[in-house]
Amino acid sequence: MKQEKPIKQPFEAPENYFVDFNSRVMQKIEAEKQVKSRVSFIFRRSYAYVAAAAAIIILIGIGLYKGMNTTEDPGKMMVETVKAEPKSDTVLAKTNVTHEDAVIQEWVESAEEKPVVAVNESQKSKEELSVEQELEAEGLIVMDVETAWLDENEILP
Amino acid sequence: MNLESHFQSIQEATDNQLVLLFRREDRREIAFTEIMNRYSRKVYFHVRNMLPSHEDADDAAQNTFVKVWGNLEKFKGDSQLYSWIYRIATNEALTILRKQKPNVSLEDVLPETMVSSQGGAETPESISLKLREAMSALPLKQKMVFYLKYFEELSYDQISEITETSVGALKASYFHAVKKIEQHIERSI
Repeated sequence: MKQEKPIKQPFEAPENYFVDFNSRVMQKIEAEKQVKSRVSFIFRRSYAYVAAAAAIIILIGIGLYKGMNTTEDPGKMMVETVKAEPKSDTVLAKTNVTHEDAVIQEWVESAEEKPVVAVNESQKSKEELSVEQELEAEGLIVMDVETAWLDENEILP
Repeated sequence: MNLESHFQSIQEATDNQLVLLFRREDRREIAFTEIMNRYSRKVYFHVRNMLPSHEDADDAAQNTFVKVWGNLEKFKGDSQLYSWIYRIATNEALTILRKQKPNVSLEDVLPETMVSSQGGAETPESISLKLREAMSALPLKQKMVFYLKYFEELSYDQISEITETSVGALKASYFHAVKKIEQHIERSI
């Protein structure tokens, strides 16, 4: 059968088909390269977008979580803030405490914490001593602040 | 040692040398062009034999070389370069056939629009046409084996590498193909 081959190929290619075959294949390869690089660029860009979106979502999540914790017990928060900084107008504004309330609280605290001032003999000036001596001479008794409350009847005529 | 010192011109390089040359970035295109020069016709006619139209064969042939470009660097040389290229071409042809007819296999007979040969004096052209008609009636695998053996004059071992089929099965396919073609030609004369 081999010796009787009528024509080498059973089919014929169009005329000049193989003349530019190589260049057409190379064009196709270049086109595929561009598509691949575009796809990888899009993938890389979308990866950056996804990362940015994830970061934003995490930040918003943290913010919401903190916000939920602060709004959980507003009364407690108000007391804590007043205790920490009673004079701060900013804090007052934030915690809905009126200025009058703060002044009263400050006054109460200062009254509670104010040390009792005892007048010692050594601390008295010469003028004070001389006044006391004059009063004693006139029969009036002058007592120290510390002992004034002990026997009220005794010092009153 | 410089690879190119082994041959005077690129046309003298063996397939294995072309594969090695392809791995060098600066020689890749030269090596690939030579591979296309050697195998583009063979690949085209191989897939043309399997596919019903020139357009399909053109697509399959181009896709074959695009894949060769993309994968030649990974080619380990376990088989011959030509059988590797033929295998890619066969798969490309099957891919195109499956787009047209899903579940097609090498055993299928594909309908082809062939111009019926007219009676009269036998000329090389008319005999060629009858042969094409007879081949078109063959199952795809028999057609491929017949084409590679008869037209490409490959040995059974070489066809076995390409089709990944045993030599015994190939011999049987070829025998059946020849019988059917002879019967077809005898009927048409």
